[in-house]
Amino acid sequence: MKQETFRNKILPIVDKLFRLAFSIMGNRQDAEDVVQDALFKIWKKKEEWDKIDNLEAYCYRSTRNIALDKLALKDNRQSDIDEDFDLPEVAHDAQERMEEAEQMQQIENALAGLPEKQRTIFHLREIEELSYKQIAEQLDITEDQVKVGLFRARQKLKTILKV
Amino acid sequence: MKEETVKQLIERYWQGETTLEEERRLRAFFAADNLPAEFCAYRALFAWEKQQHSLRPRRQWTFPQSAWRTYSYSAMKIAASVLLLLAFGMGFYTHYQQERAIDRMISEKPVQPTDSLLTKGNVMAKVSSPAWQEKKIETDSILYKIKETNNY
Repeated sequence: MKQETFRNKILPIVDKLFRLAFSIMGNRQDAEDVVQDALFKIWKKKEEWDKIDNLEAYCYRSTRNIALDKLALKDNRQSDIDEDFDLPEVAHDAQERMEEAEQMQQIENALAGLPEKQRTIFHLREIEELSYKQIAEQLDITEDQVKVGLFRARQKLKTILKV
Repeated sequence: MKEETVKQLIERYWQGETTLEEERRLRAFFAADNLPAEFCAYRALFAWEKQQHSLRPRRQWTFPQSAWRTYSYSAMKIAASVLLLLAFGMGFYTHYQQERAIDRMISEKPVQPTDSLLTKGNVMAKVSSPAWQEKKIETDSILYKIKETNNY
């Protein structure tokens, strides 16, 4: 029964948990370790699943908490965007592609400089396309706090992009 | 989508007022080819988002056994180390005991056989040893000589 819940409800969101961990940790290796620990922790609490209203939100919270704990143990967030990504494909011209890659690196740096909560709110909205209500649930904050966090993160990016 | 609409949407986007659906429309617009020059700066942002969204872990998770395996792996390593130490310990202990037993056999004086030890087997063993046989022959020859002498 619990195995079925794990297989049908938790495993399908592993990619999302991984991306959340990646946005906090900044690199693949750390993010995968976080997901590993999170899955283990979630499984250990299987007897409490029935009492949890929103299992997905619980998984997000567990992943985020583990990521923050791990990050606190490290000196700084290690970002290895170059290793994990290819150059963007949208621009055709080689020069354009280089410029775009540079801009993307600037975006990454700008987001890395944001407070963790703002960065996570931005990630959940822009990458996972969650509603304000869902983000509030997953981070255990109010919808207003989500709106403020998202507004600040976007304003920072607007400054970086000079638009 | 009209440029005017795009501009309005972008403005609302920066203010955090766009809906999820409007944000999806913006993403689709900026991902398209032949983007007007004035919007090129936005392309990197939405390209970055697309890239992030395509991110997948390389590690595969099936059922928590895989997690268990990783954790039990450490436990197994500790257990294996303990077993190895125990095996070495037993080996050293047995070897030490054997050494002590050999030392005792060499250094200790031979125990005089008591009555209870003088079984038939022991006696037979002693008689059959070369030293005893020699003595026996000697004794027999003396007896023989005495008998011979008596004959005279």
